[in-house]
Amino acid sequence: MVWYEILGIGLVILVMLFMTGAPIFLAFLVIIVSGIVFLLGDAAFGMVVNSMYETATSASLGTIPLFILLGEVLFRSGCMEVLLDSIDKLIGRIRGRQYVLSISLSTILGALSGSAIAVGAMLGRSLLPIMRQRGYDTQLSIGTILGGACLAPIIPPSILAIIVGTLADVSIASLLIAGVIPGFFLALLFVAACLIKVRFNPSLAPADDDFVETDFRGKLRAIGGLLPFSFIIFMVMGLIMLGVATPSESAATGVLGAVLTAAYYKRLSFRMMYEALGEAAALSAVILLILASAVMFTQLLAFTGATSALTEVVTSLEVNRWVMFALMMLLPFILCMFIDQLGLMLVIIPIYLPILKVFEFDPVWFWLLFLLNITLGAITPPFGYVMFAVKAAAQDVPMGDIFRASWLFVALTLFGMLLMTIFPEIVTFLPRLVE
Amino acid sequence: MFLARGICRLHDGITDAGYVAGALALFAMAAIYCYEVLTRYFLGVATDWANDTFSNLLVITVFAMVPHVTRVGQHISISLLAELVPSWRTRLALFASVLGFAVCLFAAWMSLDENLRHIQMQLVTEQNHPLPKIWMSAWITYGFIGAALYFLRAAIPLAALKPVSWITPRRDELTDGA
Repeated sequence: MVWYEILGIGLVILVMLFMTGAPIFLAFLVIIVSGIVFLLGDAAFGMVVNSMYETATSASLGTIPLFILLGEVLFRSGCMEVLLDSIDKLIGRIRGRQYVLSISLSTILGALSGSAIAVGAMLGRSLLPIMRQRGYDTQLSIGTILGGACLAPIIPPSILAIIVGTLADVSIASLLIAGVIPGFFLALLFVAACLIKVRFNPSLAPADDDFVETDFRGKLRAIGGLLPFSFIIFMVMGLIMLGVATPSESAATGVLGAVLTAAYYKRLSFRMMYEALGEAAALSAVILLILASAVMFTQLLAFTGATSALTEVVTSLEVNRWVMFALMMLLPFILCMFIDQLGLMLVIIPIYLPILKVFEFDPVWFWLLFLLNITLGAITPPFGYVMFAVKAAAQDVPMGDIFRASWLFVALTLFGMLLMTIFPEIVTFLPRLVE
Repeated sequence: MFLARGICRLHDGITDAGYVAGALALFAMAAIYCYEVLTRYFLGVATDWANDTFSNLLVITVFAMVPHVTRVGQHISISLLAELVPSWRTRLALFASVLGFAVCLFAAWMSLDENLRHIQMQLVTEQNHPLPKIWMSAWITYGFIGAALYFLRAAIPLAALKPVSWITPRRDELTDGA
């Protein structure tokens, strides 16, 4: 069999297994074991186990459980309420302030937890009912939660960035730092869009008459309330940028920062820590088991000759690099509407790697845009899982309204990506500065 | 049936122990790297064991937890077909369980074979302070055997085989099985 037949059959079986609802790691294992039997013989079974062993003892992947633990400690300790209260006081009186609050909160919570679904579920339960009760437009309110939550995977600490960095062999530190400016830039874009919408259509936001203005001392206290969270961000990003710690080490110091923050607010307990450790380890097992299987899939692709043959094919194509770039972005954008982003990412990255080398795209810039692109899948109908998290929290809102709520923020993110394509410095400035 | 129930309770107990081992390993990972950063930048003494121990603990964190995440049905999957055709949901779940049992059992067999090779050849890790490789690779076999048994238990609709847990916070969700 030639390489494209093997690749085609493998991908079709993989997608079919995904569709049946079988766990993703099982689908990868079926393909890997079948591939090994047909291509290399049963003597190569040891390779599968050794590849898994190598992945599961890779120190850079240790960042994943630690970042998850950081988010778990913050969520379970209830420190997020302090954050909500402080940001609320700092925003002040502007028409549509709850939209600003929602985007700020979902962005910061996303950055601290790295989980879009957790942010969607939490704000869907806590902030959305308040916004609706106060007469804010339901669709726009949901949109702000969805939009802010989908920034979680690019603003560090980001688990998906570590996975992309590992699979694509790109500096994880650079990829993490590269997400800072685009993340906050998109958050500002969302805020601007909401305020413009409210300006042209004041019925979208009430006058907020019950708003109590915070005095100067109150604002100082609110800034003080944010300091422990700034400390956590420093313990993660600051230490990487200063060259004091590697990403894995900074994840550990970030956990220490989260524990100290929980202790500062008197919310640290043995039970909370036990549950946070257990849940973080369990979630890490789920992710790293898939990753261990997918790494072997990448190696198998190389064995079949598909990787090198694909490179030759792409090299022989006389396609403009920007057309190729657009196609490489369009494919995951469409597929992520239907397929889980993690599963898709693990299939697509090994295939994209040789193409990327041919067209000489900046890897940090390309993978950051790719990351943004696939995270859109979480808020794009019909299978965006953050939308389902919001729906679970706001059950009386029809799914159609949640679908419609997301489109404005999908369009804004795509516009932001276009700007990052035209001005790549938005992405590459910080990593180059640190280098 | 009494014997089956007893074996299942033993399996659940071992999985609970694995849960605690995974959680403790994660705690140790965080503590070791904090200690490493502290000693390196404040005391000017870098350890030569922190990176290696961190890597060794990672494999324990992951594979000690695999049976538990299978027990609570926490694995990531794409439920597209089940959502489009709800009447197939039960059959698809059964398919996933049977496939899970077969694949995990096969993976466990491959891993066990490799474990035996590690013991026979007395292989050690390529680290500053080498340890027998079997100490880490055995967790992979443990993870797959435990997961295979939970997939099997999920495929058989008997009350006696339903998973339980005595110590995990998600014990209330265990009735869903794998």
